[in-house]
Amino acid sequence: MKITKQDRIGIVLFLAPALLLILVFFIVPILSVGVTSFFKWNGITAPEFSGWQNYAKIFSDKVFWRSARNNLIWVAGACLVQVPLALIMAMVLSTKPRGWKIFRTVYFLPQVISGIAIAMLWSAVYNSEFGLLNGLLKLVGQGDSTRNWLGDPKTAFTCVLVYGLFYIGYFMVILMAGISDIDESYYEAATIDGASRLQMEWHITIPLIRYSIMTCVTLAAVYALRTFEQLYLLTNGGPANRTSVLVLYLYNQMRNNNYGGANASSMMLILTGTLVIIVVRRLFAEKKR
Amino acid sequence: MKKLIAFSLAAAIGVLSFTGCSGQTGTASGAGSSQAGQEVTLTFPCIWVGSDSKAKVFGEMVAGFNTEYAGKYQIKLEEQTDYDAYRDKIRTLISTGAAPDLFTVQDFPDLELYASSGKLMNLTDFLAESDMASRFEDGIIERAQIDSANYAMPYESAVVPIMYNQKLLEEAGVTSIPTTYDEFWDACAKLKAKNIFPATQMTSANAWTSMLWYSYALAACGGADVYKNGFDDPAFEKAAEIMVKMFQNTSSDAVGADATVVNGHFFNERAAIYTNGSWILGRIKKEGVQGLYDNLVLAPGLSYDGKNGGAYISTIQAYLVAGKQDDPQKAEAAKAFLRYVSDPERVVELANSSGALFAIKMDASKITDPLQAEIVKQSAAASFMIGHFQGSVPTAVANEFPAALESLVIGDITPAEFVQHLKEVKDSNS
Repeated sequence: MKITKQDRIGIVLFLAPALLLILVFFIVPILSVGVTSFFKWNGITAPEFSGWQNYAKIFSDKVFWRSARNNLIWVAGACLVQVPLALIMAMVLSTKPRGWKIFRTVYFLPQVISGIAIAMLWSAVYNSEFGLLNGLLKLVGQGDSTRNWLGDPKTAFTCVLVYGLFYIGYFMVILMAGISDIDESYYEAATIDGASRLQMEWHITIPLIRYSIMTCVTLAAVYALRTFEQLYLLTNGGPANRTSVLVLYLYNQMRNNNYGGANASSMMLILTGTLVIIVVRRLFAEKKR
Repeated sequence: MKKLIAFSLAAAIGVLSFTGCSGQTGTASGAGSSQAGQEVTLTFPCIWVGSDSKAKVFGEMVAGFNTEYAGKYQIKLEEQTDYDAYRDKIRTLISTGAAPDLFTVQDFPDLELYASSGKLMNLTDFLAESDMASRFEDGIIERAQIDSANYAMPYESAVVPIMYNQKLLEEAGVTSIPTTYDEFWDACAKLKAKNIFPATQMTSANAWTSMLWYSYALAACGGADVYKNGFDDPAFEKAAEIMVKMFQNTSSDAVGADATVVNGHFFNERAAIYTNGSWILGRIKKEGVQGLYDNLVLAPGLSYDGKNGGAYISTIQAYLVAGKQDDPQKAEAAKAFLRYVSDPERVVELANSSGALFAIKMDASKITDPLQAEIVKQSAAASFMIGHFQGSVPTAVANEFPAALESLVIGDITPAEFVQHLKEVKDSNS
């Protein structure tokens, strides 16, 4: 079909608002972050060009590497645990067992509750003096295992990670929507051929919702890289930066009035995010072939 | 298609250039210049609102000012209840060239940073006027100077006693208030034996109360000049050793605890020893278990190796700052407000209602709260006054303190490495 001049004007008019928003709120800030990452800047006085100094500083900072490592573990956890859990739940609930609507609501409920409230809740669960977890351990005669879960370097990161990965509702709903689009005839044919439920899920459901899975994995990876509020509220990166992540690291740079360093960290975060997304898409592209 | 994209981008940049061209003049951000005879309105993003202990009386002071200067000056409060968000807001406004007409600053390092922007009103001559200069505690105005100029009016002061719950001490068999660290550790051992947390500690947020304990340890180990000597003073390492011991004498949730946890332990008589500014007295009265306030005994700092006992931590907790004004009427309005809120009679009322103390001279006999009056009396008799660690080091060091303290108390680093780390942070951010 040939695009006429009027079509072109229409396309421009439709695209312009979105392009403008992307430009103002995405491209310009990223460019600004990129440029200022080469400056020594306290956010108040005029920036001074400092070349690669900000990058050299963050690369020599152990906390930066620990934060990056934690972020990657979080990404792996989100992609390899959170999404598969959501997939399993979506497949189970899609068979519409008794009470499936209640379960669907219950799993999705945390998505509509304020992150601050949830963090406070988990903070109370993990508290060493009055927390639910230690209370339960004492109740079952495991008083020796009680500890300051969020203050102990051996357990802090696992605790916040578990809390983060626990919330699967959002991905579950996306995957359920994908599953609901699959034509029933595939399953009927498989049933006639004598396929088990597991075989049907493996050979029919998963291949047919792979793009939904890819969306979930991409979103999970991005959310994992952006993780901030729950960590800020639960541990503030502690103890001794054991639970720090890149966003928290750059936030702390800003608190130190080191905006150049914060922006260099932001660029590393953007780069990491881009790489993770490329890897995820490549993995799924191979599956497509 | 390329033309289409080019056109779209050009259009977008065009619109952007219009939206981004609202230039700032580099002066304060209130309503535009006033004309003669017109009421001048000043904006004041204010943290003393909501449940803050100063909110009620300070709000009344602002209302009183607005009534007294009706038709001439008006103060418009912008409520902000979160300290970190407030700090972020002020910093952002100043960095964009739009300093608020009036605002507060908590730390001297922040004040130095903001002053470097050139967006703050120079108050040196105003504060040197005889009726103003005579209002302040001796030397306070000079200590708030940056390159011999005042860019802020010192207002609230933090006077920090060590608070002991006499009832819990007696239950544990501690018969006298410790005056040395050795006596303190003995008291801690007795309290622990009775399943009472000796002292409260925290490492979350700015590790406030633990930062105060470290400040007291620094005063005891290094004396009045410890901050002047810098991190090479061995007192910093000795004080770090004291902090390690402090965390052996606290609740199990201390690492990662925030102010809510710390206050909860002391207010509910789970912990016997606590330190915080005088402003907390109002909350202890209101939120503490029945009788807690009456059981409190206040004391100054402990001595270390028989030296430097009886010190008191005191620092300016809030500076009132005015944004630089092009409009002389607005500048006069800001000064009139500063003069109004620093009136000693009004400040006494604010002190009595909030439990806070101020950099303005007050008649101690007019302070109605007995413990607050005791703090004023004890601090006047202190062997020396010293600032706290957070207000005496650069912002980056103060921000690094909680994580470094956690590393220290969980055994990641030694006291010497703790000091070395803070020193490196200071050097790398200078």
